[in-house]
Amino acid sequence: MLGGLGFGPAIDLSRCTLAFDPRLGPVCESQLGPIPGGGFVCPHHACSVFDYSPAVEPLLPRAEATPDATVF
Amino acid sequence: MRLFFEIARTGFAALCLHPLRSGVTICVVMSILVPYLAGVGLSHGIRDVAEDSLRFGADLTVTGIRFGRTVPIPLSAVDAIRQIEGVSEVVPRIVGALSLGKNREPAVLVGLPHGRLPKDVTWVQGQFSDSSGMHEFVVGTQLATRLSLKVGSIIPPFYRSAKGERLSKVVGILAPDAPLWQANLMLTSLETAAQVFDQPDQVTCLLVSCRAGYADQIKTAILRIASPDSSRGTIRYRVASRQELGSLLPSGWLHREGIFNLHFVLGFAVAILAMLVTSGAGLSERRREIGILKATGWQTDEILLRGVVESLLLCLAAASGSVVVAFVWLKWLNGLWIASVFLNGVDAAPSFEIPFRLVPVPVLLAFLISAIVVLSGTLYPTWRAAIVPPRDAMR
Amino acid sequence: MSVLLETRNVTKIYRPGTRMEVRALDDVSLSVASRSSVAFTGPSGSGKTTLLALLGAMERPSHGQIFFQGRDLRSDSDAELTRIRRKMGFVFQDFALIPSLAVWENITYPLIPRGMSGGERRKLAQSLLDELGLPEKIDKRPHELSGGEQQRVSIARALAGRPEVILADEPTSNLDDAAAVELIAVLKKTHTAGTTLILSSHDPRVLAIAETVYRLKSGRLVATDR
Repeated sequence: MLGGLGFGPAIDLSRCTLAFDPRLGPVCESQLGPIPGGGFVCPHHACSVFDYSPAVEPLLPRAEATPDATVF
Repeated sequence: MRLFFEIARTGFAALCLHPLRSGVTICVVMSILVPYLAGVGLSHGIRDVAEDSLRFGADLTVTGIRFGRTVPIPLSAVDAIRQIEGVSEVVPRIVGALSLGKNREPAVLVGLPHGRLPKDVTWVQGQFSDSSGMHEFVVGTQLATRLSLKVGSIIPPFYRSAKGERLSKVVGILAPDAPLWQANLMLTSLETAAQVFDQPDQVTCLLVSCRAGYADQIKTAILRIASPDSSRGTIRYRVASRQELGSLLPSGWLHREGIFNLHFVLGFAVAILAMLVTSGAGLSERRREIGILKATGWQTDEILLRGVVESLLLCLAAASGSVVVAFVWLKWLNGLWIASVFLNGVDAAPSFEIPFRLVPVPVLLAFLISAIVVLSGTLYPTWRAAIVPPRDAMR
Repeated sequence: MSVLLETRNVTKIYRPGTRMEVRALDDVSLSVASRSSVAFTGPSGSGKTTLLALLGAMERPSHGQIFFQGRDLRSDSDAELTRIRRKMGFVFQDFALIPSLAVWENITYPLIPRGMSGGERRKLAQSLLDELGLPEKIDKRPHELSGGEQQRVSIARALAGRPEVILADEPTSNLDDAAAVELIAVLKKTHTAGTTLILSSHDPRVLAIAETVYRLKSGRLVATDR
């Protein structure tokens, strides 16, 4: 009905978009914070038994047109 | 053989002769197995509904990125994507977070074009009318419960917009058996959602349906598009296909469910110690009983057979009881309290149907681990008592 | 008369090599003939109970030999000692009944591994209880019985396996006078029926039914009466 909504063990976006639906944001915001162990605040990393990897490689864009970096 | 069964029968009798000891043992094992089975059952339930979400979702979901972070997409991108060969439909969608009420209840606002809003879906009670002049919302079960909303409830303005605020009306409530992600949902039109978030002509994502065999080609084409966003640079696209999302579904022992299993194996190790301690409460009684049996002519292997039968019956009772309790807890108590432990944002008493599935492997594992725990907790002290001279055991 | 049990230079040391070492029996040699009645007496701690336990194959001596029907028990396995215990009946000072079992089950529990069915066991228990004057107590639990009744149940259990010898450790020490007299009568009757009796007691009434009385002191055999 909604074109596919929801995928993970969270029922709102208040903590971790990824845990709600990786299509809306394929990284875990809680992991980006500077707080040591901050990932444990995220339901994706803390409570649930069901989860999927936050490193959603195929969903991240590839810079196809960008040449390889040159190392000096 | 008759002798074997006669001795085995005394194992069963021993279970009934020490109801407190048996009860404590069963309770210790169940206290570990029930949350384990409930947790894994919930995990499999979520997996099932996640698969449904993929199956009934769009072939491709397109979101915008800037600096590697997700950003809205200009609505004009819809036309650009529609031009790509093989695209059969592009539906813009807004999905955003907001909070409502004095307790700041979190809600997920979803906006879809008018033509895509459900008119007659079994899990929506009520429908959009388009005639009230107010914003119309279909709300999720949990949100409706938390905010005491019913069909017809009027919601005062809860947002600020450059175009001004309007009253909102609840025109439908999602049924409790709708997928869990609808629990805190507020479903409305694309225009209303854009106004609530004050993001005109912007959407969160585009749902792209493709003709068979075109998905990869379309994905590549979309990734090559870059939408200029007036003076704010260019937005690039991220495309998630159904197959890519499917590959994220949990699998393997090092996945969280596997780790959960490992945690519980560790838990069982602790339980074995707990069992040794609890059986230690009746240990002197058990030792003396075994001493008497030995003194009066029972062989060590006969005592062990009696102990094995007693332990196996205990483990069967504990594991079966755990499966039944876990099922009752998830099915009839709807995961009361435990669902809120494993699902973020769920109330202690969920107002929607909790998805769950008890699958054979964890159930069999529960039986196996129960056997290990009980056999170590009860058979070991029995064996220790049975190998010493009867007089020592009777002391 | 053939020798049923014999000890040769039997010594029993508990916790050997430690500061807590106890020499419970020291170089005890004696023999018990079949169908005889023997009693051990002596002050507390003189080794009566230990000697009874050794004769009953309930533990092994530290030194010396014990023979049952001419067989040296020294090299016997645990299972063989158990098989020998099946030829003996024990009456313990504290009765040693299993609290969770009914009287009839307590009496006949030792017969389960010997293949006797539940029906037969109950019938046997009933006949023994009739003999011992407790016909109506068959389904009671031990805690519902008096001390004397519990001791009679303990004797019934000892008799249930038709033993060649009954070993009774201080059988009257927990009983009142009347119960003690009844119990002694039962023991006498059993002996008369051809069962060897080995008793340990301070009670002169118990010693009176023994044909031989051994006196022990600090683990040593110091005298033999009669």
